Amino acid sequence: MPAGPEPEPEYFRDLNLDQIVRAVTRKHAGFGLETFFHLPLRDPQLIGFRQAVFRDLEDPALFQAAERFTAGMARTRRRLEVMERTKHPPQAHHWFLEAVLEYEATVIGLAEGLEPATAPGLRGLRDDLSQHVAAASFTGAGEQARRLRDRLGEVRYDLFLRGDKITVAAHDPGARFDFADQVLAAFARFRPDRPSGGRGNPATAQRAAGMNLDQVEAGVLDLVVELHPGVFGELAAFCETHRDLLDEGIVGIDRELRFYLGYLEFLTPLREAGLPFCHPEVSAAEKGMLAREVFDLALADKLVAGGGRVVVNDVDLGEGERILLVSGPNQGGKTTLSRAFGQLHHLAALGCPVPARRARLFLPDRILTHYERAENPAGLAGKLEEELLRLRAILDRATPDSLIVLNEIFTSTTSEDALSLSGAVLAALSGLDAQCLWVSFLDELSRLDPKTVSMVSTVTDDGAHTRTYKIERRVPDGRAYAMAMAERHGLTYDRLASRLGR
Amino acid sequence: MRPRLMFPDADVPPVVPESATLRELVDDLALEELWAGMARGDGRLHMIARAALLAPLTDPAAITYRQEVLGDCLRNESAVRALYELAGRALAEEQKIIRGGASPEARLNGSLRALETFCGHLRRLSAFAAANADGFGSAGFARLFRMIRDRLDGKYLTDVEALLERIDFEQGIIATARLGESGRGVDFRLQEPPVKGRGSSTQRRLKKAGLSHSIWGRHDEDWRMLAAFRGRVLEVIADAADESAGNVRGFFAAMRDELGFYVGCLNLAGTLSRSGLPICLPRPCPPGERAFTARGLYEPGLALRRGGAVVANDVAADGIGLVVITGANRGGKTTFLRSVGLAHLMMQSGMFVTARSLAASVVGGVFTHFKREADASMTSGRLDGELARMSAVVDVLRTGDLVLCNESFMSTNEREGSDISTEIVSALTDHGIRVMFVTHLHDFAQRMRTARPARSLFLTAARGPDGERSFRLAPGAPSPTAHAADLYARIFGERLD
Repeated sequence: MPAGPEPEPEYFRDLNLDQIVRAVTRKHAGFGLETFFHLPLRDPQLIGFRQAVFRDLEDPALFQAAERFTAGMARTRRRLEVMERTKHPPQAHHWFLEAVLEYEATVIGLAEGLEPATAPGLRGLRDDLSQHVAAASFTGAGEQARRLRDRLGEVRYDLFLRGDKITVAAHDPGARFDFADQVLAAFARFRPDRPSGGRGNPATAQRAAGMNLDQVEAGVLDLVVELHPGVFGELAAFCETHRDLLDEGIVGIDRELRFYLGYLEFLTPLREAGLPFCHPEVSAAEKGMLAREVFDLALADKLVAGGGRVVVNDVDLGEGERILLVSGPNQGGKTTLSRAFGQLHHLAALGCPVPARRARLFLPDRILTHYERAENPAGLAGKLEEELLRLRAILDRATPDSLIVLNEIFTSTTSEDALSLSGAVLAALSGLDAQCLWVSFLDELSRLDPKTVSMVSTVTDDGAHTRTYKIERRVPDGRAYAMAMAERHGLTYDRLASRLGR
Repeated sequence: MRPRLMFPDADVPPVVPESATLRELVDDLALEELWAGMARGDGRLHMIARAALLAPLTDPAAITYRQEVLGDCLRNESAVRALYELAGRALAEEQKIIRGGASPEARLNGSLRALETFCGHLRRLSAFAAANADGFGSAGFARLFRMIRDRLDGKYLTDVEALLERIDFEQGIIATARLGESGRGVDFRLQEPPVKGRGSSTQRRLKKAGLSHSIWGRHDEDWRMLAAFRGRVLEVIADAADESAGNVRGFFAAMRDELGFYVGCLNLAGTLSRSGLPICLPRPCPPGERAFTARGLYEPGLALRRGGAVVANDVAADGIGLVVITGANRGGKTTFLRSVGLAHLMMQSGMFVTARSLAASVVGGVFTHFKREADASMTSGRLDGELARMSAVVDVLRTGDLVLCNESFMSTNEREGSDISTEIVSALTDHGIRVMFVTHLHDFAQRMRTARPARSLFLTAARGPDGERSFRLAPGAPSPTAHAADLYARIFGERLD
């Protein structure tokens, strides 16, 4: 997998893929995961390799194993960073010991957690890891670290605080240290039978989270070191011997797994909201496509977060069909469908699960998009000119294997002009034989070429143009409006029977 | 140790659920009026009344438990009010204690003072129980007074006060610790505070060890760190004192809040009886019986507003799954629907009800779907809104619930409104949900009458031959007109043709 940074493809912003990648990588900042998302593949075998990894990681047990690993690596790194910062040797030694233990458990945990994996990628990883953790250097350090931890854990000491002085002595096991328990016991009868939420208070947790000791705490630790010189001497020697802890290969695994985990974490709330995802069939040879219940992933992420409803659509390009012409009322979900169409192809080319119930897709050599730009040049003539220039650039770069998405072009000119200009573009696209989705207000376009398929955004027949955001290959036949409305709210007898029968 | 005056074996759940459906119920049944009558301007009583009425009980035995407690309260009104005030004073005094801040030492001092304050009130509570217990007979009060007698006796209170006096670290702190992350001391545990003069053996041993760290500079920072360290050592006792004070506070708060519900009942009962209106303790029946028989049922909100006589209805709807109410406008239909909903909520919170007598099966929950007058959107949006509200109700409906519909689905034409109503009402009643439906949809009412005559009851708002209203409902065939012509005639002084 690539290591260096890779720039964002031009169509990312148009298709809102940049939003998706931002959301996916938010939790994994600093690992350069964006690069993975900027590099679509065209080799069905490579894509299949990644799809297999995704499939495995969709199994909660494997997902959690990978997640535990990345979390453990993060903790290990944090401990090493703290160690670097501290100038007080007994503290630094403690941090290093913790890092070694964390790292050992993390790596072993992944090797064991990947046991049930079936994807070749994960099986290979598991085998490498098993070798790594069986090596004498790895096991030796681990055992020694655990012994040291246990001995340090047994250290107890007594304290006397008065005025400006803290005195320390070895622990006296005969003394009674249960004063707080006595207070609790005195009032135990007032304890609610169902406790309301547990004790402790946030201030405690906050203070304990400070990683480095202050001078008073360090002073006390120095006294404890004097009480137990043996174990602290061994600890210092251990740190000296095992300086180079992190294996470069393991660090790389952490990064690659985060690509998969980040994407799957992003899908989790959407899956919980009932949205479908699938591993598409992909081909670099066969054109045509099929997608059932496809939706715009970036929009769905926002809608689900806000409790909104996501509309899904079916899209097909059958035998000989190349161009989807989407027309119909404004705000009917046409632009959203065009984005979903583009996202579907890009995400499939990454090997990722795609937002659809089922999909069969062609892998384009490039994706070319045209969406209205916010920063318009002055004047309408300027705008038309700019649009034509951009279209020209698209047609120049497009090959028969490209995927083209056009959203509302020529809106700034008369419809007669728009129709003739569009006709010319359509002829060019048809001649090119590239796959294309074109959102246009000109429904006549769909009758001009046999390679086109018409799709229409629908509204209900209620006189108020209630939007459904559904886009269909046919115009729906009007049903009784009120009952249809009741049906939409799940209030017909049958729907109620199933809702109430739960 | 909890008062348990509302549930025989559980504490009162602290939170009232919030939802759009619930807000509509509150509006549609005019529950605010009822709560205002219970609260008499006291915000806390209002909150308590609200919490109790919006969490109806569904077990007849649990309802009876509260009814018995309420019976005690009605017989011992002044003692109950005095006990309520005792709990309130304990909490108010503790509230006045000035807290020094979030540091463990400050928390410890605040909690100690709170515990000392509470001890005085526990003594008063103990005396109150000894003097008054005899007049109370319900299981709830008997248990509470027995508990106070057994567990808050004089010896206990004296011991506790002595312990509190010893929590004082003037002579230093003796603790033990273990090494935690990065070598920081954790799991501090405390010995009893050393007393002045001769130190404990641990203290002497520590002195002999001679390992000590001193702050000798005048640096504020050094002293701050030392104080923080002290704080970490004292955390465990501060937590213990905090938790203890919190638990005693919880006991008084539960007593105040649970009694507050009954004080609210006393307030309302007093107002109604001064107006000469009857109340009764209803008979809660198991849900399977589908009982609902009421005599002299009236709407308390209207009664409070009018301060006197209101129209009351007799209803015999035992075994009935659907009640359809038709008839004249301004005939008392909405008021009746409210009186039924309120009767269920009041009965199921353990209150009395506003009727001469009532026997009713408990319902899982009461839900309303009332027409909305002020809907600013276009007509087509109104039906959509009505359907959306009904759908939100369906989302939370369970078998055994009660749904009150008031002129639902009138925002489309009669034909479509009847279609929708028929589908919904049939599905709800077939799933064991009781429905009361006030409607002008004649087509719908007729269809229900034909389809399920045995399990349905049809009431009409009576109307005299000259159009005057009695506001009383009586069984009768659905009326084919809503008598809008009457209204028109009265307001415009001429008849419609």
